Amino acid sequence: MITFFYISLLLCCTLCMWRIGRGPTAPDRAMGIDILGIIVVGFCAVIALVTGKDFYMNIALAWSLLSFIGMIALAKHLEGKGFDE
Amino acid sequence: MTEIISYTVIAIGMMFNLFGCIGITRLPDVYNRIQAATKCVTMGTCLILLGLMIHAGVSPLGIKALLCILFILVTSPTSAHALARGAYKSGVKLWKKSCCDQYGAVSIITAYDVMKKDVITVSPDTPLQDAVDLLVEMRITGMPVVEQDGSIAGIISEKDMIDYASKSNIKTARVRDAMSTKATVFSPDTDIHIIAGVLSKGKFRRVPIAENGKLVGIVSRRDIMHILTSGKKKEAGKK
Repeated sequence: MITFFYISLLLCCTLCMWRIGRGPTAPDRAMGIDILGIIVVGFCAVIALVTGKDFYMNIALAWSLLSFIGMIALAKHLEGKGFDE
Repeated sequence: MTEIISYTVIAIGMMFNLFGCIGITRLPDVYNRIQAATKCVTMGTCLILLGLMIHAGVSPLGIKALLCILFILVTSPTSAHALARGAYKSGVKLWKKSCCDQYGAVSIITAYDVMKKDVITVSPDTPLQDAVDLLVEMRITGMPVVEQDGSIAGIISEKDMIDYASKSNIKTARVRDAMSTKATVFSPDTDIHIIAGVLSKGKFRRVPIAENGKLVGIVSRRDIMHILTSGKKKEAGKK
């Protein structure tokens, strides 16, 4: 069962990476990174499930926070504005 | 028992994640991809975390999983909306088969936003001399001619007056004799680009705006110039 989780998450990551590499526009790539960030959170959750260690969830929380801030900054940049507008 | 439930929930979450990622690769434009990926992957990851929470129960691991669910539920749609707006503002086109663009439709400037609402008008039975005086006094170059019931009879401009004065005596004439009856009238929700196109042809300097046959405003070349200078809908609307 755990193997199935790992395989499907890796498949998700691969599909996201394909979109990040393929483009064709900048928002496509940004969206791919955003989704990849959320999938990494899922990955951390599965690893925490297997190992039973809770610091993997700290990584997940920090990762989702960073991914969110980065995505807002990217979106603002695409709009042609600074981060504080 | 809890193990079976949590593994089932996680497996469902995995399916959502996979479908979301297939959406990323298969859908035609960035907006479709954003909506597919964000909805499915947010749901899927939340289910994975929920499964972890069921598995861990009330423990640091379970509480952190709950925190993570709440955080992702709030932030993921937010960043997706911001990203979609950023993509739109940066000029990424919609897929050619997309049926409507309501976000773009909001930003169209209509005649209603630009027109002057307090229009100086004149009745067709006014002596032409008074109309000439009024034009000069108000420093305008033309005005709509309006019947008693508010319907538009025509439009009278400096050009019409000078034309008439060159042929006959304006002292005895009325506005009805000099005005041009073939006024081009637009409705208040006309796209301003259409009106600008008509004004740029050079035949008229202003067009009356009417709703259900009643005059509600007027758009002159000067009003169009106001949107060109500020480029903002609001300031143009105030004028």
